[in-house]
Amino acid sequence: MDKFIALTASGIAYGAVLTLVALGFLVLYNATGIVNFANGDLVTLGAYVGIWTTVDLGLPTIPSFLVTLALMAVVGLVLEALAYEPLRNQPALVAVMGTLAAAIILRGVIGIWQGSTPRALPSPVGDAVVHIGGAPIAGHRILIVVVSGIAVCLVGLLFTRTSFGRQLRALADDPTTTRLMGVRVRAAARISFVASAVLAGLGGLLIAPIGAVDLTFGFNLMITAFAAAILGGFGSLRGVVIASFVIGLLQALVGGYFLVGYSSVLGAVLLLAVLAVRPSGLFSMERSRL
Amino acid sequence: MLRVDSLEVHYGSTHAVRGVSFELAEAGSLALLGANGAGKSSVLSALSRLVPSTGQVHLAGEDITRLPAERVTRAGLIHVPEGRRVFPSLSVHENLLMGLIARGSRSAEYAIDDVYDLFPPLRPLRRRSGYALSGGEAQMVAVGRGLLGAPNVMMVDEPSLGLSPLMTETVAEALITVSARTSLVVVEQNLQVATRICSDAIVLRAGEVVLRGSSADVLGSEDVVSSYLSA
Amino acid sequence: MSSRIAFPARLRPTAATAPVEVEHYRRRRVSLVLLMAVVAAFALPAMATSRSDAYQVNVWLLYSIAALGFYWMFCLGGKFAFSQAFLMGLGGFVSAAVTQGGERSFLWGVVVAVATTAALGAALGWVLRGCGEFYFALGTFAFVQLGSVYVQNNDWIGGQHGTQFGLAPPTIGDRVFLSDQDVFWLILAVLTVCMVAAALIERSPARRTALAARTNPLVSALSGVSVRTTPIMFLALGSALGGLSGAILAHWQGSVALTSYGPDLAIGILLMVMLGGTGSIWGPVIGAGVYVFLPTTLTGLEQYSEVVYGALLLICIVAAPSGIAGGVERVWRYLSRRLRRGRRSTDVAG
Ligand SMILES: Nc1ncnc2c1ncn2[C@@H]1O[C@H](COP(=O)(O)OP(=O)(O)O)[C@@H](O)[C@H]1O
Ligand SMILES: [Mg+2]
Repeated sequence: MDKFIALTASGIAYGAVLTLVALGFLVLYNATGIVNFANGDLVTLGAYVGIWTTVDLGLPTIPSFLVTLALMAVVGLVLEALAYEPLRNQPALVAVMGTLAAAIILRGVIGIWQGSTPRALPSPVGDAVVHIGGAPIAGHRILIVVVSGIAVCLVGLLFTRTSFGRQLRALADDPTTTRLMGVRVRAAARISFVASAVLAGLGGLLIAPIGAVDLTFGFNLMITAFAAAILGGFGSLRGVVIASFVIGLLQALVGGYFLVGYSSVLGAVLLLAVLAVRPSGLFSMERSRL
Repeated sequence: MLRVDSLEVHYGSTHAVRGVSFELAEAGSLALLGANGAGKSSVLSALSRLVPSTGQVHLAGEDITRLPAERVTRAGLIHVPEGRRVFPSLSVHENLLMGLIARGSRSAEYAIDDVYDLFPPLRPLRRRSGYALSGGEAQMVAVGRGLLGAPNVMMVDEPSLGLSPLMTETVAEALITVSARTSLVVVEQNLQVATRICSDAIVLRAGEVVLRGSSADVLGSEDVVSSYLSA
Repeated sequence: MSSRIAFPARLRPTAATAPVEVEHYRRRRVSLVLLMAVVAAFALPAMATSRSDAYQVNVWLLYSIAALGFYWMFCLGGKFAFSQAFLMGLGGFVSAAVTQGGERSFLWGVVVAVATTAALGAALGWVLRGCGEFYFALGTFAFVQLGSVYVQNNDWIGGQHGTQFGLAPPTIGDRVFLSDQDVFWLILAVLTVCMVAAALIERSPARRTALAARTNPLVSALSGVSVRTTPIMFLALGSALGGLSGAILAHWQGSVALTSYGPDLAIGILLMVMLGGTGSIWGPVIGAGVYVFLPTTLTGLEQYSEVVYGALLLICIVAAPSGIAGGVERVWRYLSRRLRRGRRSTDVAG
């Protein structure tokens, strides 16, 4: 029972981080019609910048988070200018390869900056432990759920309640007509690059204290987040949230009890299964073919 | 209000619009007539800069020829595209709100409530998603969305396409109301509807203007009409 | 929808994956491949004076084989498969497992490796048959992740550290290929065979079918072209080349390590094809050469190699989508046109 509770807690926490990263894809995909392969390395970058600000610079938690997220926003802008804008009028796959190139550059830069030795980011709540139903749960996992919960709600409000959110959804529906409405498409692309970089960075900051951070840290998370985004239909906020938690729990429980050696790739398995059976996602209505 | 000089559009080897020129006075209304493939939609798309073109376009004296599409819209040349293009995943109300973006700080004839007054059937549908609308409802949303952008000139492409006679009548009535104070360019294949809405008309064939005059004259020249407009 | 509003490029229904250059390369001859093979047989050993040169030449030719496979999948089959680097590694592992203990020969190992990777390529193509471009690419990412963990979890193939040592050197009959110079002949022969096959495919109806299926799936389906099986066939063929290249590489080196076949090489293979040119079978060979020899020319920049590769890829995609081979082709066409025009004008004058 203790094990079950502990695994569930870690599954929920993982699902929460997945939601953040997957939402990053979603925002960007809605605005630009492309999937950003650099997202995983943005997660890695967020974690390393977090380590730099807290461990190396010794900033307190909140300022270090803020500095990290601000830097991530800048990186998002640079990414848009270098890897997306020049390819805007190319077929989608070409633009995607542009983000792939950006991913390699980003990883190379991180490697030069931080080397290849894994590093650790201490949790803002330290080693605090909370007991739920008798099972000890790391306080950091609760922090993850709370912070991502807030972030997801903010993104949800952004999507449904603001003019920018409406423009994003309109862009996803029909980019040409959206331009006819006078929407500044370039600005929308920039903002969504910033938003997705910030979300990725936040994901990195939150998940880093659970394990060690190395150069491929974000990449694996990205594949699983892809699974969540696709499972959720790549369009709907609710679908992505549900899919992220399903995958998080599945990975923790199935990986914890049965397929111990394979827990880290259950997301990949699920992704392949979904792509084989329902490439359009489980929760989606018919959307454009990706 | 709108002056177009020697507009040309090429799609690869297709020369779709050949030297079209016209002028539209303030609160004037112009019907663009012609058979399928005559280049009517291409003229509108060129004016709103969705397709590349050559020639000059002036809106209220300002040269808008080289602006990108979103700036043209923001300048008040508003294009209600063929096929209505209502955003399927946005609700009716949200679709109308999208129209407001183009307005910027320009003063507008129509506020959202005025659009609901112009098209009363939309009022109960505020929350319905765009994909669940009938053709007539979608056309009302599309026209309403255009009006909310505070058009100096509104260009409507085939408003009656695929609508029942009754619905066509509703939309036509609304456009006539609008034309009292807003300049209109209406693309139509339905001659009766077009000439009722607009005071002037030009007829396109294979991308060239072959006839221009008042609506009554164009409608009156029976043989010309039948030979140019039958496909 | 009959509406005619101009779509931005990314939504254009015919958005083809890689630049499609249909006609200009049709006349590529098998004889050109053979000629180049003979030239390479004389020139390369003469030029590769140092040991490291010989080593790099071999790597270049082996990468060319894998990149040619990627070219088939990507440029002909229209599928962006991220799996090629992993399949190279897998080819090495499979061949290591087959030849372990020395009961089965090198050739056996290579054949089983090729069959395995071809089957996996086909299976991947079948599993992802309903996917568009993005999802297909993602699916292959997931496949690589899954495969890597499988290799690490199973001692018969890779084991915890994902490595195998002590592979027998390539041997055919009594001929053992030990030194880098020896192995060069083997690799050159294999590459030549593959390039001949590629040249034949370039001229065959299969290529036209593939391009048709990609540029207009609906029409092709209606006209009886099999839209689904064509990409799967190219995936199987291309993956087979990955396994072939990896198996030879592993036996030549005597060892295989999973980490050498990670995302870096996967993206490297994409870079080779983009850099070399997506419109010609020579693209992969040229690109692999640049990929292998670039770091030696940029001494001092080794630690930045990833950044340099990434930047090159980006520059390629943005500025030179037809790659080096495309550039050469354009220059060649320009020159020949000049030449012809020059001749014609002298005709007139005379
Ligand atoms: N996006 C496009 N690409 C290529 N040709 C086009 C495109 N849009 C229109 N055309 C061609 O241009 C001509 C004019 O089309 P269009 O302006 O839609 O005519 P209309 O609206 O009068 O029916 C037609 O021959 C049509 O086939
Ligand atoms: Mg039309």
